[in-house]
Amino acid sequence: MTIDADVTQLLTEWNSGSQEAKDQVIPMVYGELRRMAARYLRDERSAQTFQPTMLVHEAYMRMVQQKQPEWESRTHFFGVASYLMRQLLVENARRQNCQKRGQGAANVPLDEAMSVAPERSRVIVDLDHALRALAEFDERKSKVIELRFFGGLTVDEAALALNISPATVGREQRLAEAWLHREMQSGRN
Amino acid sequence: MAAPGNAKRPELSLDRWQRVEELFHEALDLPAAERTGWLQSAAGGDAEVLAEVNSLLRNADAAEAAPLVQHLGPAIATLLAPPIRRAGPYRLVRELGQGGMGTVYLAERDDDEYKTQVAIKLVRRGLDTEIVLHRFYRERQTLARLQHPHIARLLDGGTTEQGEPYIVMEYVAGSRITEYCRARSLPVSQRILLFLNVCKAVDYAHRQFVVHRDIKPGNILVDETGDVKLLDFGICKLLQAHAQSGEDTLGAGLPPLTPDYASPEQIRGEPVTVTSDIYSLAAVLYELLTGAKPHRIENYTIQGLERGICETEVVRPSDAATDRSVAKQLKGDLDNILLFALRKDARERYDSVERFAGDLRRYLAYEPVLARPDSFAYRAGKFLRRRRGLAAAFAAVTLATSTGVAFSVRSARIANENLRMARQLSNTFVFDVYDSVRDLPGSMRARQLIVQTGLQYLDSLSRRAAGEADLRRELAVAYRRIGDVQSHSIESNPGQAPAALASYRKAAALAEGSLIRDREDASAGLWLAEIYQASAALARRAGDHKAARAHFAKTLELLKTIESAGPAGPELLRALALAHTGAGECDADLGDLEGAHLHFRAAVSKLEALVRLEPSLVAARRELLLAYSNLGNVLGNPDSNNLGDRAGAAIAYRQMADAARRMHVADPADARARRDYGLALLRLAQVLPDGGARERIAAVRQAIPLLRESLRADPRNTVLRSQLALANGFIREMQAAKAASGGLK
Repeated sequence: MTIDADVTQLLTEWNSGSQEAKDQVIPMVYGELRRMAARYLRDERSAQTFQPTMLVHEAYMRMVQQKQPEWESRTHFFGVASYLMRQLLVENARRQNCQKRGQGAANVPLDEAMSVAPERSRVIVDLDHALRALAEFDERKSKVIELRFFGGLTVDEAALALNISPATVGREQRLAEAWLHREMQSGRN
Repeated sequence: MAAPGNAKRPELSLDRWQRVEELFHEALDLPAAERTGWLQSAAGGDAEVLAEVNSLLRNADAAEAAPLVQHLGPAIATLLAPPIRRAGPYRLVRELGQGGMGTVYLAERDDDEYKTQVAIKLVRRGLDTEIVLHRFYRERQTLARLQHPHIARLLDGGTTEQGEPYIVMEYVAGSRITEYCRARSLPVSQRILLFLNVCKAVDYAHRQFVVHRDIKPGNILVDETGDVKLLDFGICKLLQAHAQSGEDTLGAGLPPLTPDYASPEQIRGEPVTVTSDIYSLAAVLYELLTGAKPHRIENYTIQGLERGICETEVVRPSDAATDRSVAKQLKGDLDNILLFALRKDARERYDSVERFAGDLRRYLAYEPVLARPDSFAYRAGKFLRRRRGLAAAFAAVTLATSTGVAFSVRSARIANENLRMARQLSNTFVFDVYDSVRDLPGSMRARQLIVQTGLQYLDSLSRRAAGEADLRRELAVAYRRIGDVQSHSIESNPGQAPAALASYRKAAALAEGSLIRDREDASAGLWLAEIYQASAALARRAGDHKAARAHFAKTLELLKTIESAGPAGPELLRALALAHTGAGECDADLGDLEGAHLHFRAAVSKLEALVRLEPSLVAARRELLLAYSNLGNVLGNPDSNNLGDRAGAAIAYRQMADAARRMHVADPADARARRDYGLALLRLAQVLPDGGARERIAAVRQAIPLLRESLRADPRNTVLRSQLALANGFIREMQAAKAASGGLK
């Protein structure tokens, strides 16, 4: 498939410093994530067993499928996809918060999930804020969280992506979680 | 334990922050009890570092107790997945469109076996649900009966958990007839041919006494193969009741309508008849042929609409068409046909879709058409001057009745005036006027008068109708309609039963002569069978079981004749099942349990066949469930007269419980399904043989929460209350038995 070739090619170029390749590949990955999310929604059964973080893996499989994935492209891809996933979620959460406030008379959704949604979408927005604050003085920790939570990467995968040891990933994550927890709690008061 | 959310983060230098991290990880590896002491010394007197590490440690514990990911997973799922919307057992897949009355969705029903795509119209919130539902259940029967290759079927309906009424219809994937023709640049003759199929569908519905009321291109879809289907038949009327209480529609009291295609009488709020549909059909054809809409509406106020629709003359189609070669084709006959069908006064238009279509066919065949610009200029001199609303319609028909023949039509070519009057009477008068006054308080006298007047007129017409098959048919329809009206009022006026039966008898007598000879038309036979069935039900309600039994026998005889002619469709299967059920109940009333048993069994087999044939008909599934219940009752329900066959009853109740379970699983929010399931389980428990103790306990245990839940929703339901008591009694008995046997050991 030409698309596969394109993405791999673009990732490689980006990896060797091409800003142009980056500008091209991001919308592609973003679009794929959105499409897949939409597809999950359409099918109730898969929505029930839905593991959102699997999206990034699946996007990779769909977009960059090849027999011997070039490691660097893969790392890059996951890094990018995790970041985009976060963007996508925050954007959706913000929109939902807004809608909740300014909801008109038309089309009131039927599902009770809506009543829980504001709480949940707030978690996403809060987490995003906290992650930014964390990144200000320790970017690696925020990256670990992004990869693990939004990208759904395993500890080993995250270790490879960040070029650190799995043990370090574990330590970074623990401290980051404690820190984020405190930050989010204080944000609420 | 409150998390320390108080202090701002201390601004630590990078090396002190690194120290915090080291201490944090080392402390985490220690048993919790040793941490504080160890940290005190390890921090070496740096109070800030110590405080930060302690704070982080506490948060680490809290974070472990409630991991972020736990919140995040569902949050992500919720955010990415817009809520799954449901309407009863249907899952709404995506929006197909929005209309004045609500939103239409593509939906799927998936339970254990089937996955069918349907279209669901979800009625807007905040409308008077009670009235809408009431109307809905009353009309559903009629609408579900409309089976025509060019009509999208009405399948089901109900209310969502939030109380919004919805209607389930056959899903048609196609484009609007106007777009279809434009995209393919179809020539005039092909557009007319396509349109003639629409006419067939409308004509068919009119013969079944259903007026569309909202014919417009959006309701006429053509699929890829060129197959045309009409949507939303009768839906407008179904939902009209609420609109009259709403204030957001055009003007007070006006049903939702589409001004571009609405007839003048609809704008004025006058009774809507078949000729209103003819007007709207013509408005659609006008647009199909000219590309322009027939009304020039300047503004959408009530005055603007009156001016544009009721007053301004429609532009001659040949003048409206921008394409010159098309304009040439329209000039003459098509101009005349369209302008005739678009007359402001409903009485001056074609009086049936068939005649309208006939003229179009004649045009295509190069034969002379009946519509002429000047030949229908009869004025309303003999008529009451048109007034608005019911009073005028009422007065007009009363006048017509008292003077015998009120109209004379110059053109004998079109109108058989008797037929026309019969139509007008049944369509406008009985159908609409009666309906309109029914809900008015204190309208009893008026209603009686309407029925009485209608009957007098029909009687006088039918004396003269000897040889005219068409008229006999129309009269039969009108008598039946009157019979329906009379039997509707039986609750408030029980003396009406013989009168209603007499109307049915007249309808049947007329139909037996004309309809039934029409062999190829099975629906005509079904129609007659319905009259028999209605008579039977009426007799049974009046307590005359023998007469009821005779009527049911007649119904079944007729239905079986139709059945022998070919494979049974859903209509016939359902009619057979209904008749068998009625006959079985009748037999049971008369003490003939064996007869009842055979009928109930037959009803079960017909309904099973129907559910196989039409898996998406929810109503049929429920009827099947009730049929199992009847069968089980007559076989071995200890609460009623039964044949003492407990094993047989257990089989039937097990099937009933199974059917109920499926409906309950498909829609856990459906209160009726929940109740059905609970009651079925309990019935089963009652008849299980003594050897089946385990199954009995299981059934009762399952039934109790279902019944309890149902009772909570409907606390005054005495049946539920007693059944729940019965279930609890079962449990106590079983516990006592267990204790007793335990005590003996």
